Amino acid sequence: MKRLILLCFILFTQDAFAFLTVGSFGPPMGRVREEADSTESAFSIKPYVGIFYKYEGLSPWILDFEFDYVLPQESYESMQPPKTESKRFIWSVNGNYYLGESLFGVLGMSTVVTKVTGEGGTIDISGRDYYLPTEPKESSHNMIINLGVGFDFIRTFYGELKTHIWRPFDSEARGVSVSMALKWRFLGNFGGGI
Amino acid sequence: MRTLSTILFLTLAFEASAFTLLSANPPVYKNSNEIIIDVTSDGCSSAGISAERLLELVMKGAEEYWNSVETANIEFKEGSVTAISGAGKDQGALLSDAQSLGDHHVLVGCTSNVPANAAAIGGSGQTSSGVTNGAVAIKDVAVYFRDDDIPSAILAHELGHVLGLGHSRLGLALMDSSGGAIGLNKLTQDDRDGATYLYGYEASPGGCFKSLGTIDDISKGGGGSKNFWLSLMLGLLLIVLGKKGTTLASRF
Repeated sequence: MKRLILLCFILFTQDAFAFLTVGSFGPPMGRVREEADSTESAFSIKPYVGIFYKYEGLSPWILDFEFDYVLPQESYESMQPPKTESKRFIWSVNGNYYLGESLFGVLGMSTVVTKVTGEGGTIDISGRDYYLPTEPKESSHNMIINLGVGFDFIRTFYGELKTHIWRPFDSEARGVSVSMALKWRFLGNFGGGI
Repeated sequence: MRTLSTILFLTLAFEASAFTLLSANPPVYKNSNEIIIDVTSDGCSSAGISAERLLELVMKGAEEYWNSVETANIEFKEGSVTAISGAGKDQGALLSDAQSLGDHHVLVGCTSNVPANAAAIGGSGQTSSGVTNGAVAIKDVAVYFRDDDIPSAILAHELGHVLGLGHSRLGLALMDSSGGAIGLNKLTQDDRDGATYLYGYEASPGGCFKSLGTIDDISKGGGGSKNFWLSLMLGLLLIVLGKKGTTLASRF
């Protein structure tokens, strides 16, 4: 029921429905082994989609509220089912500060929810049974700091390049990732503001 | 629109991970940000490795691999050289010894009593009162201590078992049965997913976002209802404020 209400809220709230984000949210820089001798690039394509809403009443800052869903990636093409999925949802609140007509800086925070789930069951590896994940015992909730720049194309399209700092106060777990996004205002009342 | 749908369909492929668990409900460390690693008193005498050096190597593996997963609440911490001897003991005996050190202690020792087809063996146990301990037994053979990377990777693999992970189906993964590719001292995304699955960082949201709730809270059904309604109300408030803001702005 709650999911239904949430869906209705999104679908029937014109302002929320009107603003679409597509982008890529890369893995932490130099942190993830991809090949035997190399790590995955921070600019690897990890597509996400989202909706955003810009609140323009705090001039010169514009608050940008955003909710994104990072699409699960096909990392291991040869892997046979049963599968395990890693889902990621991101709530963000960013301040946009215009440095001119089109260029703006981005500063804000996000909560990133990472949830790993599987189909369960057992699997034989080298003659021994191992267990596959089902529902997660824990979902990860990370607060991250966002820093970046954006470009405003005629108040309809926005391009953003952001860096994200994970666990800034933990010297071992601290990580930096990069995201790129295109944002599109294709419906809604633009008013006379920015 | 059709093009957009096609692009979305093509990119919407599922990530197939390969990590496994040692059991359906492996014993997990409740305070996983405080797992203490201790070593046996005799180090690896046949391999010429002192107890202090063994502790350095196991901490290198713990820190470079498991402590660096930003989505997992895992922090192995350096303990001490204990008075416990590991000579001739198997992993089970070391696990019994680890219990005498207290909750959340993992005892690492060199021994000749490791199965012939393995370099090391690791795992954890939990008492009925919830005390969780782990033990790692590494074979006391010089070939496993040729340089820093090999023993730290072997020990990090065994610490993965201590955390509750089984062998992976992904050849590059640290948790692959052969220990994956050694040299980079990095986990694959598959290893990281396994760590996140068992020890997700901050199980409940905190900070200023707490009142916003999360998808996880909503999906749990029973919990998080307060956060859910707060989220909706805050969303509606922002939209009303936003409309008011743009209307006011249009006057100027």
